[in-house]
Amino acid sequence: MDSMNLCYLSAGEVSRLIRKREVSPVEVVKAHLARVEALEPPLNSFITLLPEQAMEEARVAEHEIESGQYRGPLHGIPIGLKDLFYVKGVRNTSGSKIFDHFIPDYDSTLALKLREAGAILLGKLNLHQFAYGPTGENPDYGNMHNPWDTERIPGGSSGGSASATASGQCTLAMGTDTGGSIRIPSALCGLVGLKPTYGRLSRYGMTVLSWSQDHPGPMARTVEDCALVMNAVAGYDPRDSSSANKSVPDFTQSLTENIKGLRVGVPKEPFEDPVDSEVEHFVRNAIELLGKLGATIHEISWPLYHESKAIASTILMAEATAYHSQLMKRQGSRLDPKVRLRLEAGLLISAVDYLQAQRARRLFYQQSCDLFKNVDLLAGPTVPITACNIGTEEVQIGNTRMGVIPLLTQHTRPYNLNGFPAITVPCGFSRNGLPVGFQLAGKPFDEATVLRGASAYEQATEWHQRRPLTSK
Amino acid sequence: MGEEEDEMEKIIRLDKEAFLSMAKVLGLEEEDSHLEELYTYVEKLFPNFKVAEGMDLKEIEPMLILVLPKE
Repeated sequence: MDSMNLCYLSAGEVSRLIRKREVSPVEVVKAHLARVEALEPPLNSFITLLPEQAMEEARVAEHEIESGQYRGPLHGIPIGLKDLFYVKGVRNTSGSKIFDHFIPDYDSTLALKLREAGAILLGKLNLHQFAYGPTGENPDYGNMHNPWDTERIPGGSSGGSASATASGQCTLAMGTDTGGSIRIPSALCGLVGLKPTYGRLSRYGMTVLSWSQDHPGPMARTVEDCALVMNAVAGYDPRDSSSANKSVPDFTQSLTENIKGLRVGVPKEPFEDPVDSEVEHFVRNAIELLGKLGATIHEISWPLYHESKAIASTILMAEATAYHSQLMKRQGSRLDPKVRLRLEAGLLISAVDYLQAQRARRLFYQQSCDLFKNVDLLAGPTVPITACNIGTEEVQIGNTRMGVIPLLTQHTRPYNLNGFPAITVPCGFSRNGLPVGFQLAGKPFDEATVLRGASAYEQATEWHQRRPLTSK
Repeated sequence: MGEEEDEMEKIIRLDKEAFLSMAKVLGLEEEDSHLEELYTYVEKLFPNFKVAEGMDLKEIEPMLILVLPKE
C-alpha cells in the first residue's frame, strides 16, 4: 500500500490491517514520519518531533504483535499529543518559550494510558499559547496552518492536533477543550472532535487553563476512531480531583446506522447568533438528514443560552488568571501579548463576580438537564464560520461585525459551562472548499448516544472521506 | 424601571478612573500605552463579568460546594 494511502487510513482501518499482519507498525510509522517531514513547513503542526523514539516504539510494537501480544486497536497507531499533556522525559512547552526547556518527570494519565494501549507517539503538537485562544496562532513557535488552505487558521487552541490529523501527519491526536478548543479546530479542519463529559477523562498531568472547564478529548478523521480512543483512556483516576467514578461502556457499541426514534432537539437560540449562511445551510441539511435516518427532530428553546457564553468566559478568565498569576507577574513581558491581555483582564474579575457566575452556572446546568427530559441529543452549528485568514481580528457576517474570538467560541462555550459531552462532525464544504462542522451534544456521561448520532450521520455521508490539497 | 436600568448601567460600566485605581491596587504598574490597551480590552468585557447581576439566582448556590468523599 502506498505511503499516502496509509497516512489517510483511519485508526480502525490500520488496526485491522495490523491485526491481520498485512502491514506492520514500522511501515505505518515510517510513512507518517515522511509525511510530517514533507509538510513541516507549511503546517507547523509540531513543536517537538520524536522520530527515533517513534521508530523504536514501532519496532517494539511489531515484535509484540508478531509474538501474539496484541494490546488492542490502538497498538501500532501513530498519534500526536497536544503539547500540554505531560510525557515523562519529553519537553512540555504549553506553547510558550518560557517553558522551552521544561521536561516533566512524570506522565499524564492520558499519555500513560495511550502508551499502554500501544499507541506510538510521533511528537508534541503545537497549540495556542497555554491553550488560551481559539485561532491556533502562536508567536513563540509559529502559527499553525489549515491544511485545506494554508493561508487560514486551523482553529485552536488544539490547532496542531487538528492540522496534523487532517493532513495525515498522524492518524489521530489528543486535544483539550476549555471553550471549544477541540471542536473549533476539528470543525475548521474537517475532523471529528469529541469533548467528553467533564470528569470522563483524567486531567492529571495536563497544563491547566481553567480547572472547572478543561476537558481532554480525541480528534480524529472518523467517529470510530474517537470511540477507540475513548475505550483506551476513559475511566476514573483518583489523581484527578474532578474525575468521575462512573462505569465506562464499550463506546464502539454505539457505532451504528440505526437512530430510529432518537429524539434530536434543535435549540433556536444558536441560530439567533450570527451564523454564516453557507454554514447554516449545511448544518440544517445535516439535521434534516438525521430526520431522514429515523430520528425525530424538535425545535426547542434553551433558556440562558445567550447568557451562558459570558458566564463561561467569566469563570474561565478568573481561573486562568489564578493559575498563571505568578507567571504573569514575573514574566508577563515574555507572554504572547494577546494572552497577556486576557490574563491581566482576569484580575479585574472580583471574587463576588466569580461566585455569581458559578451560581448562574448551576442554574444553567439545571436548565440544561431539563432539556434532556424530552430529547436525547441537541444539534446545531459547531462554529458559525469557516476558517478565516491568519491574523484576522474581526469578521463580517451579514450586517454584524464581530471579534474572531467570541465568534469562534459562541456555540461551543455552553457545553464547557455545563460539562455535557459534545462532538463535531464534518457536514459540508463551503464554495471555497473549507470544511463545515455540526455539533451534537448529549446528557452527562451519555457519550454513547452522542457517538451513535454522529456515527449514523457519518455513515450516511462522505464528507469525512475528502482530503485537503496538502495531500496531493 | 428607568432607575433599575440606570443602576444596571452603572454596574456594567467600567470608567477609566476606576480601572486605573484597580490597576494600581492589583500591582499593574506598567507603561501608559499598555494600560490604555488593557482598559480598551477590559471595558468591552466588563459587562460579561456582571452578567449574573441581572439574573434571579435566589436559592441557587454556586457550583463550588465542598463535597467530602463518602469513604
